[in-house]
Amino acid sequence: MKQWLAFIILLLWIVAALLGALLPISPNEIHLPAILAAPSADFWLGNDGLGRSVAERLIAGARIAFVVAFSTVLISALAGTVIGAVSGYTGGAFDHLISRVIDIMLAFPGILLAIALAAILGPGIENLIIAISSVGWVGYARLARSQAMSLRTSEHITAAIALGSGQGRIVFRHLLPLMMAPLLVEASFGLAAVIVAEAGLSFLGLGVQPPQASWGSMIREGAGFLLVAPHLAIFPGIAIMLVVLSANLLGDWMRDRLDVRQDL
Amino acid sequence: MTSRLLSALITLFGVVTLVFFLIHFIPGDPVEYILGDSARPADRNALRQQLGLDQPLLQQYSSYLKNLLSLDLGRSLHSNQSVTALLMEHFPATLELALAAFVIAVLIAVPLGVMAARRRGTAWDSSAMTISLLGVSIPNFWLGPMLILLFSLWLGWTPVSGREQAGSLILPAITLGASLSAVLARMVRSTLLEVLNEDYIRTARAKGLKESSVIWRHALMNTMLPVVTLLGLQLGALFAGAVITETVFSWPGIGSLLIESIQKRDYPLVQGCVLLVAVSYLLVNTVTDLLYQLLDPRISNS
Repeated sequence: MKQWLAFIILLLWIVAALLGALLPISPNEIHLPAILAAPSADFWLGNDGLGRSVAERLIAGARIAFVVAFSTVLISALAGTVIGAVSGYTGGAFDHLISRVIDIMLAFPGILLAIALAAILGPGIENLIIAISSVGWVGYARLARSQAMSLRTSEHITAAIALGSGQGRIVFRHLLPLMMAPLLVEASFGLAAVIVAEAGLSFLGLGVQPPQASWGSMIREGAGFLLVAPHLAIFPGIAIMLVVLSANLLGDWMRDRLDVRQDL
Repeated sequence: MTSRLLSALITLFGVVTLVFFLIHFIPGDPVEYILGDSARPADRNALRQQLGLDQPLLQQYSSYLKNLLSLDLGRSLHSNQSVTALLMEHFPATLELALAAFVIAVLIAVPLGVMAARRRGTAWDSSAMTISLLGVSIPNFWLGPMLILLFSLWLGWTPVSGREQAGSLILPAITLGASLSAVLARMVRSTLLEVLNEDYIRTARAKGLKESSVIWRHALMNTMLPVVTLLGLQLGALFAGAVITETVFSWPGIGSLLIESIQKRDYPLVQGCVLLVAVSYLLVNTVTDLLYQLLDPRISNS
C-alpha cells in the first residue's frame, strides 16, 4: 500500500518533468497584478514575489530536479560501481590506492564537499551535476568493492577463469550482474539524497540561477515572504518532501523485496 | 590502537591535500574569478602574489602545509583579518548548535524508539516509524522556515533569527537535530528488538522485575554500543549539516561564514572553513572509533 503511493508520486514527478516542457506554461512570466497573490482560480498555487505562477514554477522545478537527480545517480552509480568492482576484483596496488581514496572521501562530509565544489565550479545545472557526482560515486564504489571482494573467490568466477575468460569479461559478465540488487537499493536511496542535495545547493544560491525555477531556490525566495505569503515556501517544500519520501520508501521496499542485507 | 591513529593521520593528510587541490585544480584562474574581467593587470599580479599563485604548484603545496602546522591559514581577501582568528570567532556558535541538536535528537529518539519496540506491530509502532521516515525526508532548509513560520511568526514564541536573544537556539537546534533523531529512533528500535530476544531479558522477566526496569536498565544499556557509534558518526555530520541550518537562521557560526565567504569569493576563508569542518568531522569519527574499541574490547582483538 505504502509503496504504491510512493510509485504514484514518483510517476507523477517523472511525468511532470518529461511532459512539463510540452505544456503551455510559462514559469518565468511576470504577472504584475498578481504579486504575492494567494492561490486562486487562475493560479492554483498562487504567485511569487514577481507575480510568477507557483504551480508552473513547481512543474519547471520538477524537471530540474529530475534532470539533476537522474544524471547524477546514473553517473555516480556507473563510475562508482566500475571503479569499485575493478578495484575489489583485481586487488593489489590499484585496490590499495582506491580504498585509500574512498576512505579519504568518506572522511569528508559529503554535503560540505558538494558545497565547496559547487562554489568553485560556479552555478549552473552541469556544474551541479559534476559537484554532486564527484561526491556521490564513493558510496557505490565502497559497496561494489566489498561485493567484488566477496564474490571473487566464488566458484563460478573460478570456473570462468579456468575457461580462459579475460579480466574485463569476468568483471562485466560474471561479477557486475550479481551485484545489481544491492546497487539498485543504494541507487534509490541515492536518488532521495541527490534531490535533497540539488535543492539544498540551490537553496544556498549555488545551484540553478534565476530566473530558472528549482524547488530549492523557490524555498529560498519564499523564505523572504514567510509572513505575507507563506505558500511560496510551503508548496515547493511539500514537493521535495513527497518525492524524497517516495524515493526512500522505494528503497525500503526494494531492500525487502530483493532481500538485501544492509549494515548500518 | 596505534594503527587506527596512524590511519586517521593518513586520512587527515588526505583531507588536507584534497582541500588544497580543490582550490588549485579548478578550471580557470581564481584571480579572474575574484577580480572580474575588468581588473587592471597590476592588481591581478598583486593578488596572484598575495595568494602565492605565482609560485610553482609543489612549492605552494609545501608552504601551505608548513603554514598549516603553525595554524596560519592566510588572510581574508575581504576584511584582511587572519582566517584562523575568524574561524576561532565563529566556531563556538557552531559547536553550541551542534551539541544542542545532538541533545535534542537523543531526547526525542530514545523514548520514540523504545516505545516503538515495546509496542511492536501496533499502530504506535507504525506511527513512530512513519514520523521517523518523515524526519529523514524533510530537508532542513524547509523545516527551518516552517518552524520559523509557526513558532516565531504565528505564535511569537521564539526569535526569528540570530543568536543574541534568549531562546534563539531552540529552533535551529530542532531543525538540525530532526533528521538525526529520525535515524536514531529507527536504530534504537531495531537494536532493542534484537536485545529483547536475549536470554538475560527472559531471566530478568522470570525473576519478576518490573517491565520498565527490564527495558530501561537491562535492555537499553545493551543497545548503547551501536547507538554510541551512530551518535559519534552523526555528530560529525551535524557540523556539516549546520552549514545549511545556520544559513536559514542567520546563526553566526562556521556555516554562515562559509556561505558568506563563498558569495564574496573569499577563497582563503572558504578554504579555512571547509578545512575546519572536515577536520572536526574526522576528529569526532576517530574518537568514536577509539571509544568503541574501549567500550567493546572484542573489536580490537578481532
